[in-house]
Amino acid sequence: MKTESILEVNSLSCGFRDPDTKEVVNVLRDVSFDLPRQKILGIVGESGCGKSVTMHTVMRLLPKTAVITAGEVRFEGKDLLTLNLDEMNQYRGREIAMIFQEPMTSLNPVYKIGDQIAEMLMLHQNIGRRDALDEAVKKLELVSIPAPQKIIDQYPHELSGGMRQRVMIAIAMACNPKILIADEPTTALDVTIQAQILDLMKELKEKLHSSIILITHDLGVVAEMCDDVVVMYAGDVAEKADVVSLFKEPKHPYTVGLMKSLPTLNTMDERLYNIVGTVPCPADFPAGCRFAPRCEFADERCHQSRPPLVRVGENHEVACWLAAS
Amino acid sequence: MEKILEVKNLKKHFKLNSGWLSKPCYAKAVDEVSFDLYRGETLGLVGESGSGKSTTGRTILRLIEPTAGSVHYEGTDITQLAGQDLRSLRKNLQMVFQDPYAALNPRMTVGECITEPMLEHNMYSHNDAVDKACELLKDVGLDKSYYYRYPHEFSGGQKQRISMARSLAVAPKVLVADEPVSALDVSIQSQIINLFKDLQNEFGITYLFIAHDLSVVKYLSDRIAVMYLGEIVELCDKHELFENPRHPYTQALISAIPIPDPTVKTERILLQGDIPSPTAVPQGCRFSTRCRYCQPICLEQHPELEEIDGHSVRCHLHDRLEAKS
Amino acid sequence: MTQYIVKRVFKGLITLLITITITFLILRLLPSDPAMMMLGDMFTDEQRIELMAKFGLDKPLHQQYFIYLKNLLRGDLGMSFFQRRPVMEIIQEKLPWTLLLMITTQIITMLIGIPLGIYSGYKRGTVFDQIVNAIAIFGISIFVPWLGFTLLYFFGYKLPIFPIGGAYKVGVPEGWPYFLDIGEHLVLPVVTLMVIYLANYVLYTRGSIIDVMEEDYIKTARSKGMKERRVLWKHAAKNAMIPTVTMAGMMLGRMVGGAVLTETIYAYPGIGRMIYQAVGQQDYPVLQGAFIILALSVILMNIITDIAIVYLDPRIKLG
Repeated sequence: MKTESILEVNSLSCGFRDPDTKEVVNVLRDVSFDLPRQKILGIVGESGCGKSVTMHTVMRLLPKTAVITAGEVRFEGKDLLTLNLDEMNQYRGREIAMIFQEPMTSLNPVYKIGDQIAEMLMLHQNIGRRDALDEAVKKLELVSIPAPQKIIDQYPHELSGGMRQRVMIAIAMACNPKILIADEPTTALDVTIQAQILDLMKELKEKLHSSIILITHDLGVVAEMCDDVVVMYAGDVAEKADVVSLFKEPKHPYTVGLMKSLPTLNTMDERLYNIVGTVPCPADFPAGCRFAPRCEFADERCHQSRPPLVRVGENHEVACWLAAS
Repeated sequence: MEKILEVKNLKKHFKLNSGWLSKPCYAKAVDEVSFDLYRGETLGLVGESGSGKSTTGRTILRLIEPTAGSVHYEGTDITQLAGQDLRSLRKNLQMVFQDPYAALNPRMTVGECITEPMLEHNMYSHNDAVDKACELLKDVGLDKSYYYRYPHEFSGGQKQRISMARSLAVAPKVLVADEPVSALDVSIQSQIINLFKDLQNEFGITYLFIAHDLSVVKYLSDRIAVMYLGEIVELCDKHELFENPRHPYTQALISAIPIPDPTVKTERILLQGDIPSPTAVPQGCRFSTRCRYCQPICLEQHPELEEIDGHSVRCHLHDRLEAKS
Repeated sequence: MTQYIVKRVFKGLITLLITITITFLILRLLPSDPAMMMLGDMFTDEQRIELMAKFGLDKPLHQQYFIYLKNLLRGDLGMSFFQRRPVMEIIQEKLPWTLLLMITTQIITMLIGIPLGIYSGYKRGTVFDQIVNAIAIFGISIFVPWLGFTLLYFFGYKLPIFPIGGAYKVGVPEGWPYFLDIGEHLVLPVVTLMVIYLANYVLYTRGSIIDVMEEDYIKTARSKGMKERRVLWKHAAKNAMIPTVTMAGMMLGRMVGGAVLTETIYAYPGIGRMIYQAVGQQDYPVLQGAFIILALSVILMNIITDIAIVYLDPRIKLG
């Protein structure tokens, strides 16, 4: 265990029980990564890659149909998967907090903003309602919301998407958690608002000395925000690296393909690069390398057996038979 | 270049608060929008939520009735058409929508979706229509065996291809694409974007491409129009827009885009606050509430769209500002 | 907010006016002689002439209308020709019993039904939920008279725990014994009504909670680290209640006339039974009075519900 990691996910495997057949369909396969202290770790992948499922597992927010088949999630040494719900509640909000993708629906519409922030404080600290509301104003100031005294008396539907996401961040950071997990926090927001929110997250990380896990599908956001990156595909970890190495020399064919298909502002080519085919659904996951069916370099071994994560650089690992050689 | 579509002073104001005891209140979604579309080109229409770009697209096609203004298609004012004339118009002006999951009738087979418009306009006999549909499926990259299947059996990207085949069935001259790739994964986006390009090359269609993602728009468009709060604030050739953006909003928009390269540090222009509500449009320049260059004249006088050398901009200060590239 | 209440009450009054007018027109536009309808053949000729003058039945329609409105404002709803006394007097006797019956039923049903529905929805699919669901569907489908007679037979006759009918026993002394006696007479009718209403509340709330638990803000609540109990009863319940309150309002509005079957079976002297008897006796003034009271109660309950909803759901735009 690296002493500078605050969170370690080791060989996590998880699946969902089909309500009709009662069989467990495997989704995550042997996922491992670390979150270094006070760094931003990006988890990037497209829909169906399992990035959200991984983080929901860390927070133990999975639905009842989910089955964790193997692995551990160590927060400061303690395996969170062994805790019961009451014990887990000691960590949620206080040590590890999470914000979600849809700010429009993530706040309870029938309670005032101030009460929702105060609730977080009252849950984990020995503080009365009056004091909690005063603190709530301070938390709103922390996330640069104008006129916070007015906002605490308002309801979520009176705020815009960007403002709501700021409120979500205020709630999440209210008890100074050590880890903030942000699940696609800006995907539903305009690009100018996204810029504001990302900037805010960076600022808060410095101020409150927290570590952040940022889930996204946007490679641009990854390049801007993250120190380290995990690329996931169909429930597997395809590649892990620090951000500079990843963009300079992507090794996994999926990562390479993703980067090539982006229409950046500088693309001058006639045609955009395509990765052929589509992401399979969990019931159809192949036994070997899950990217093999779409990979132009795949050979017999790739289809048959799953490539392990192999170190290819100082801070760079890849799960690919060809890239490893 | 020949003009195929001329939009003049297009207005769409939505009346909110109807009811005989309430004060009338209008959302000025589209306000005095004018531009020309040239045959064979792709005009990108860019803006964030609340800009009015989607409403503009739908109003042009008369899917929403304009409050005022005119739209001339090949010389005829289509805002005055009714009945059979309006229905005939639909052969020439088609639309592809954002949500592929909602745009196809789940009760109709793929083949029925595509042949229906052809038969509706009496373009082919039934057998010929079936042949033509199979041909279109091939053009959009799908197997003709999909003819008898239902939309729910396909992925988002495939559904979007089916939508395009349907729009192309009537051989339109103009295609309005309303955020056609926003709901798709990155690797699928690039496939669909290529498809748009291929189809334009093959059939010579003119596109009005509406999107919020500037990178996608730049890749496909010849010219780009930027909208803010119901107005066009800048309109010019795409290279010109990125090399020499004149409007402060365009500059902020461009700088907000995260670059997928961690070694590049962007000089970010952060906009303060949120976009105002279209029911309470600011006096003077609509961007004045968030513009970092705002001067007294900006608050008093509403700027007109001025054109210099094919580059139109709506700003009092445009010649005094430094252009950011 | 005050503006909203004022506007809402104003709209309610307009609805009431239209209802009253339609009631007026119905009776006078029926093919038979309105005088016969209103006065019957129970009165002597002198009385009839007097009453005809009083109600202006010999005058033109629009004049009759104003007399009608004037009488209404004075609380004069006409004369029952079966009982030969003012309709208003009859209603004043009967209404309190109906209100007692219905309010008791509604309160108990809400107190049991809503939490039951919430918990059942939360525990969806479990044995508890399946049992509750089954009972609820049974409750909705049951034929009220059958239930009434069955309960009456078993608990009123076979094992005479409860009285067979009526609202009270004559001759019981004032004070505590009187209330107990009324309570005794209430049990069976309330239980009969409860079976149906409970089912409504349970099923409605259950469906609502199932939807609410899927919402994003429930996930947010859990991620804050609060006990599941709090997630359910503080965060989910209030949201799930909103459609339930709307439905409750509608049910309460119909409560004045809604217990016709039950009241008749138990010979409970309320408005429902009054209507049933008046139909049999062709006592039109009583029916007309009943229509108006019913309309008034529905409109009133709708206004109250609309105002209550605004307190529950801040998203509702006022005005």
